[in-house]
Amino acid sequence: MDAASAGPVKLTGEKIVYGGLNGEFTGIHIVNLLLTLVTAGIFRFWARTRERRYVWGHTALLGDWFEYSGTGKELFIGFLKALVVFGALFGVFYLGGWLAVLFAADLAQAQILTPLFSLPGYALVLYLTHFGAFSARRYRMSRTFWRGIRFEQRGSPVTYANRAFVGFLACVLTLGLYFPYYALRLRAYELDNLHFGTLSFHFEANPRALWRPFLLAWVIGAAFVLGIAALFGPAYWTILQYAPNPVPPEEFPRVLALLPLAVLAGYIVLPLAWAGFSAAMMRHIAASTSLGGLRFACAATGWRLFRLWLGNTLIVMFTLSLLRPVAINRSMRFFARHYAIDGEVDLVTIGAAAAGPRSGEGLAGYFDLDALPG
Amino acid sequence: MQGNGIYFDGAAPVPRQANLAVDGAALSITDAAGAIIARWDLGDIDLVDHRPATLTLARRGGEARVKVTDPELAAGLIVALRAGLRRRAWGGAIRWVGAGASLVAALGLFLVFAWPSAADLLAQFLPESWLDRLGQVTASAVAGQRPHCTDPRAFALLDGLAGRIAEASGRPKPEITVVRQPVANAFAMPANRIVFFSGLIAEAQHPNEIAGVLAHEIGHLERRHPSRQLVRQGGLFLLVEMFTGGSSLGAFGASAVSTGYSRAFEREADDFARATLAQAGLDARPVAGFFGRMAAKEKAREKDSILPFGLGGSLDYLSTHPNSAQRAAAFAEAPPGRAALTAAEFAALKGICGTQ
Repeated sequence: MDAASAGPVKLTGEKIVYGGLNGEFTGIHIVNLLLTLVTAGIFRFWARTRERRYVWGHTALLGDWFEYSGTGKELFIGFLKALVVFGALFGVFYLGGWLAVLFAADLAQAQILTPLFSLPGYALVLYLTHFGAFSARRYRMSRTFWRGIRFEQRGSPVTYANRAFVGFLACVLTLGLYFPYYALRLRAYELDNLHFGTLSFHFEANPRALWRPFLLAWVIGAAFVLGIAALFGPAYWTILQYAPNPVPPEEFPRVLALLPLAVLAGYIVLPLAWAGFSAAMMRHIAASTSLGGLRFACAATGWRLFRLWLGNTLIVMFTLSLLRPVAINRSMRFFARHYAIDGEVDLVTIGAAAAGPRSGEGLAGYFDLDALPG
Repeated sequence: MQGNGIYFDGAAPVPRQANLAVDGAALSITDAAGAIIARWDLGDIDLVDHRPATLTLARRGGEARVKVTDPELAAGLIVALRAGLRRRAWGGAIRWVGAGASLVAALGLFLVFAWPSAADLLAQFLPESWLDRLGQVTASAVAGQRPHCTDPRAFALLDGLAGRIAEASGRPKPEITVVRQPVANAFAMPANRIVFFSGLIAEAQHPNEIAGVLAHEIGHLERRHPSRQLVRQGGLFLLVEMFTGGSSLGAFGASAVSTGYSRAFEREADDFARATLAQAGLDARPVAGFFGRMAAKEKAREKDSILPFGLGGSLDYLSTHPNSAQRAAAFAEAPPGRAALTAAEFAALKGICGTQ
């Protein structure tokens, strides 16, 4: 052991460094798109792996890059597993819905019976989305290295999905007011079960601290939605009268000419309100997290987060996602710029973690969830 | 070939200064005192990261890492390792991507070439009660919540005309529904059903135009196009659902009938319509007028449309029956015959939705 590197390391406002280059990353992305196209989509698991290797490999702490060691083959096998199990499950619900239609006594009964299959189907999708998101996290963390030590996400996808499912229902029942609790409970489960090697993260949040920014966002959002409903409700009713056929021109509601304007306003007002709350939550989550003697801090503000989101949305939209890497780079630089680590840790006391799952991200690959921002 | 580097042992995230040297086919890693830490076969080394000045290496499957900080050694190592690395990096991918893409391609070929005939075969074995229910479901999906047009005299005329045409072709009379909808179109549904939109009756300028459309739709029924289409698209839909993890039962019924039949199906229905009208002694030539007006509309729309591929979101006859001009020509060459309704009857039929 070298004298220089032994003993505790002291960090003061240490930043994560992101060095991804737009041109280089876009080059990788374009090749990915082409190969995905000519292989009927199969290459996308390898494409995703190449992207992650680039992003992880250009993110550094204390001068050492992170490393993504996952492979496309692992993602592909995970996808195939999910396809077999859950494709079959969806087939059952889909065919079940049709059999209900075919065997019902009459059309009215069929209309009652079909939701008996489609509603559990939707619930299953919701449940499995969270189950898959957590499994994917477990896989990704196990393939993330820093200085030869891997991360480990412990905890059970079942517990996580249960919490998410119940929390989602609570959000619906409280018209969204439960959301800060819901979000923090999920982050708590993720972070309290996260390890770097043998060193465990800890998370202790206080949802009440988020009440004020959340209520502000909620009130703005509710006012906007009510305004839109009052403005376009009658027009929607007219369209409903004709559905699924188009409304004849002479009865076409004139107010719909305002729709593009309302959509545009929605693209500004709602994300702006949400960004204020999101930034408050990011700051709170960072401040509530510790790793051994290390503390985290986040300096993101709502306005900066909104600008990041707006820029990324425009970049992805106007280039039909050709420049998605630019958006990812922007998000990563935002992350690097706004987070800081303080405190002391004795690296020698950290040991290696378990190897983690053998194949990857089955359900998340199936639902096409992705880990990268932007 | 040797130089400086940093060694991470994979047991703790602690950097260790190391001397690196390539001797023979191995990379030997020694500490400052010259004691051997590890020896890695070059064939066993994975490239973790490659920057202009530094190189990060791993022993395959292991967690120890070597960071080569000596630029010369890094450059030499990358040359020594390159061939094997590239083979490993892409070899696995090519095998798996190749297998996956071949599977998708095989599935695609099956869907394009084998599935239509397989679905036709399957459709023949669907029980009558199922077809009846499918007809009800799709009819209600296409008609939506719109009121039906039921003027007794006018409806009897249309129903009687459908009966005459069906009889001429030796088929049972179809069940007709007229939906108040100012769009010119008509649909054949499984289990001998035809749904008319009232716009088609309003736009007709000759009774035989309506007879022609009736005969065309009865042609679809005769060739079992609706149930064949339902099974074809139902299978495709199921497959897409399975691969994408979606679940939307509702939209299917309407999409199956409103996306339109293949050209082959339309030609079959047209041929059947001309033969049946001739059999019934009815003049098929006015039908050409109907298609002619549709062709003019088609041209006008192509000129006006700002959207590509005719994406207008319309449900009228054109959207489900393209190539009006060609079809008009075929009807124009039909032999002469009688009018399907008298002028008075035709005027009465126009009032099928009551006073509009």
